[in-house]
Amino acid sequence: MKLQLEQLQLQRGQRTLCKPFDLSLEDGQCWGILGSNGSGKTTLLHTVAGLHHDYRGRIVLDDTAIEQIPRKQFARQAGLLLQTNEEAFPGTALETVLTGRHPHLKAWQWESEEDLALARETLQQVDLAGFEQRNLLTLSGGERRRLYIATLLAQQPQLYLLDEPANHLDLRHQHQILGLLQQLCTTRNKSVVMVLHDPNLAARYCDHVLLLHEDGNVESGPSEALMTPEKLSVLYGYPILHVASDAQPLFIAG
Amino acid sequence: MTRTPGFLLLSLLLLSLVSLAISLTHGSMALDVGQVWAALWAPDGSTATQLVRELRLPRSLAALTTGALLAVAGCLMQVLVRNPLADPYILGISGGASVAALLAMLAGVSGNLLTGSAFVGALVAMLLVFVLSRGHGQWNSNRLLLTGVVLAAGWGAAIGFILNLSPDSSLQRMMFWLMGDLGFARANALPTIVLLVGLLASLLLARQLNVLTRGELVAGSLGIRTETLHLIIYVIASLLTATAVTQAGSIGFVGLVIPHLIRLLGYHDHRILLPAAALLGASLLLLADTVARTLLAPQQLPVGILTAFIGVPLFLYLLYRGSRQ
Repeated sequence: MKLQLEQLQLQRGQRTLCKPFDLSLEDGQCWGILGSNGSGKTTLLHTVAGLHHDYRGRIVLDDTAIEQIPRKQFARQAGLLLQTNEEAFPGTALETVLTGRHPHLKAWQWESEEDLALARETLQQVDLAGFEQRNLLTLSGGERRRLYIATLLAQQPQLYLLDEPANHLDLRHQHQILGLLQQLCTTRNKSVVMVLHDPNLAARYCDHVLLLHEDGNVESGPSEALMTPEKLSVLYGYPILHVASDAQPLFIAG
Repeated sequence: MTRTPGFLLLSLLLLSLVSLAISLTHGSMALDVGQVWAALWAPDGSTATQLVRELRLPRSLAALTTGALLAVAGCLMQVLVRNPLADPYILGISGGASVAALLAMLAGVSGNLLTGSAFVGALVAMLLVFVLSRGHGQWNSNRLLLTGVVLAAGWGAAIGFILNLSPDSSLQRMMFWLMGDLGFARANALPTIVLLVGLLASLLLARQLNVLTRGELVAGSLGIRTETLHLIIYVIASLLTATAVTQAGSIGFVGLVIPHLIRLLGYHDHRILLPAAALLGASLLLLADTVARTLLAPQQLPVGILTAFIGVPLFLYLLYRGSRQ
């Protein structure tokens, strides 16, 4: 699978969120989107997920503009984790995960034993084994976050789009979940695009980054080239220092 | 608690049959099950046969259908406006029907013409909400809800106005209509057909409804055309409501509470929720109607009073039990 953004430009009212830019994303790549609050990271992610149509340029998945792809078929290729979820009538954890199988089922079809097994497996992957019959209302913020990630895993797309997947997660689960996503890229050749707020998580797990500047300028490329204290200081409008450490680079606020 | 959907649906089906038996045997003249059975399958010219076949059975069937219509419409409306407080009347469809029906009564109309005007009133209300809530072409649950609620308030004022203009002689009949009453309901296949078609169509959409309760963006990212789905739900729910209101006036409580009762029992999947709500709504309304026509016999009470009398304690009990788990 190949995702191409051609001269993509995003506008909200009078404000330009992204000036026209090109980007090409291939199987096995793990991208991080960084930028300050309100810079348009979520809008960009939702646009790529096919939820916004008011953009200029083209978004092309395997030589087809995403508007031309039937919605359900597109949902088998690209899945999205939202920043926040609002459930009108919260059900059990298992029922929630099973909604991830929706694009794979026909209108009149029930979830099969395989779907159930897959749902249980994804719950296990996010440390929620045994939570199947728990109502969502009884879960903590972090547990709910992991449940939604399990739902995305059950969707089994080729392209994973995630809006702040580390939100609400404790330190161990942040690394466990991001490690899982990285593994999807390296061992199963899937692609990941995630909005992150912590440059250290991006430096550690993403091989490419996209920096979304407040003035609408977009920089993208391999992490090593772009993840420098100078560029990050400009991006966040705040001094960021680089601390040498044994294992990996470490960015701290100055 | 068992969570086998088959068991639930079977129990509820049994409940409807028991309710039907109770309704057919009770009334001004008590009959035993054998007499009712004979009247149904081996009719003779007896009073029992006439009573069962011409009075009790049509009214009971109307109660079953209306209860099911309201419960299914309630489920759909709650998903559509994403609000647990929604009921079939929240968007003012019953208000439009009531205004039309009261005007018809004021004009001295009855029978099919009255039913027809109520249905037309419901359709007008439905179109009005739809057109006014579209705004710039973007469907929005909040806007829909607010438009509907405000229009419903407008219909309410119109109803008050008509009641004030009406002569005392027609007031009681109007009150019965407004509170909901199955006394006018006649044997008619149309509501049953609407119910079956509506239920079948909603069942085809049931998994999409499950996804939609998780939010419009989630539904969109899982491959659902939310605008189209909203429109379809709106049309089905409105037609079900219009049919119920036309048949029996604005019977309260069934459409609001039945979906919650099933959810409190632990079933959120609309593939189970919708048929279960239909069966439970049918039973509740039939039982309520039986009490309404026997409690103070020969005087009859509007059934809407009884649905609340039975439903309120039942709902509170389940809510209390649920919060302790």
